[in-house]
Amino acid sequence: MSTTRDKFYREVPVDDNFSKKALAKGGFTREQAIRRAESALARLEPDIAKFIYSELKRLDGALLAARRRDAGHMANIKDAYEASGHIRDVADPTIYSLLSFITTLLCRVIEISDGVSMAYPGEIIDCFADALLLVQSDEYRKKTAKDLSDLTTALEKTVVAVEAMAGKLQKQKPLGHPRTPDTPQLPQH
Amino acid sequence: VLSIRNSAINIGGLSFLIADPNPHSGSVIHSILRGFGATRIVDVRTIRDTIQVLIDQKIDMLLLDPQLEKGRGLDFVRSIRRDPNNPCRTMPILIVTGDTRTSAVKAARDCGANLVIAKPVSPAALYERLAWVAFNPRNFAEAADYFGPDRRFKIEGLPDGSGRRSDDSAAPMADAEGPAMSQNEIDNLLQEAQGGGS
Repeated sequence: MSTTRDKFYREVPVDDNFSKKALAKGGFTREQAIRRAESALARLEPDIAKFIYSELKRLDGALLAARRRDAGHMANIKDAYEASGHIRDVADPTIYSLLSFITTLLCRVIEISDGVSMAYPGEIIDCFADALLLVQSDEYRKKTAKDLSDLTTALEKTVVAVEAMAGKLQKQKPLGHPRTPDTPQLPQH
Repeated sequence: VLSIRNSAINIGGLSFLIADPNPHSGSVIHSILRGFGATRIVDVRTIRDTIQVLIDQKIDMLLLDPQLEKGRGLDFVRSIRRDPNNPCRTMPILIVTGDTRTSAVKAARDCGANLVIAKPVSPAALYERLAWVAFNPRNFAEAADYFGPDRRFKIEGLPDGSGRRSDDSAAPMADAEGPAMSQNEIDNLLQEAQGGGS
């Protein structure tokens, strides 16, 4: 039965096969299911670690190339975004605390820039490249995001700065405006 | 009110389709579903393969990354929902995304997906979404620019004005704007939907 309330809207009843099957007897409680899934993920971890390592190499390379600000700059940033996204999407924050944090924010910076067709903020992206190199060094490899609150706070501030730049730009031009040719200046903190 | 936390769900007899361009990300979801007891799980990397599997097999739930084929994932979900002849039109769809900006989550919701889950996917987050779909079957809503799960929730006791359902008291449906949403914030949206954030 459909309930027509006006000409633009109606409710459509759904035959809920998923619900019927999922609520059948048997299965696992939340705790059981999570425990079993965690065991399954633990078996996958060596593969994930290998993948993260290879994407990290790719990300470092793309960010290094992006520092040149040459004709390939945008392509390098796109490559960095893809590698960073791959790490973000599989790096369990409890295991890869810093990597997960940095790649999540780097992706966000690029997504915000893309969202308003703004030039990629090169200086800020360089900060992320430096942070990535730092956390791979022997001294910092075993540190967590909590251990390096100065670094994480600084990176968070850069995202706020990019959001502010994007917001300002959005007010100045309609959406869909071509990407501005000049890298915007960083606000002073 | 059924308690999701204390009840079991049985997904052993359900079929899942994971559409994720990144095989490693897909394998994380695959492993979690296996851990939950699922035995019928299909992985694909392209929209074309997704369509083929949906034609060939009976799938009970689609888990899809919007980045599928250079960001065309949400358009694909919208096309499933908008086609009145598509047998999968009302199939539960979870959007699994690394992009948790508010605008991205809103876009995922507006394409007609049932729920959104942030990457990296954790077993707890995925279990809660499966349980939510199982315990809260919803009718679909069809409007000029939307076909998908009815996102309106019955609200009682608000003092001002009438809601959008005849038995609602009000309809506070403003869209949140602001920075990216964390998994906790997305979870909070769920909790609110489950009944006042309890």
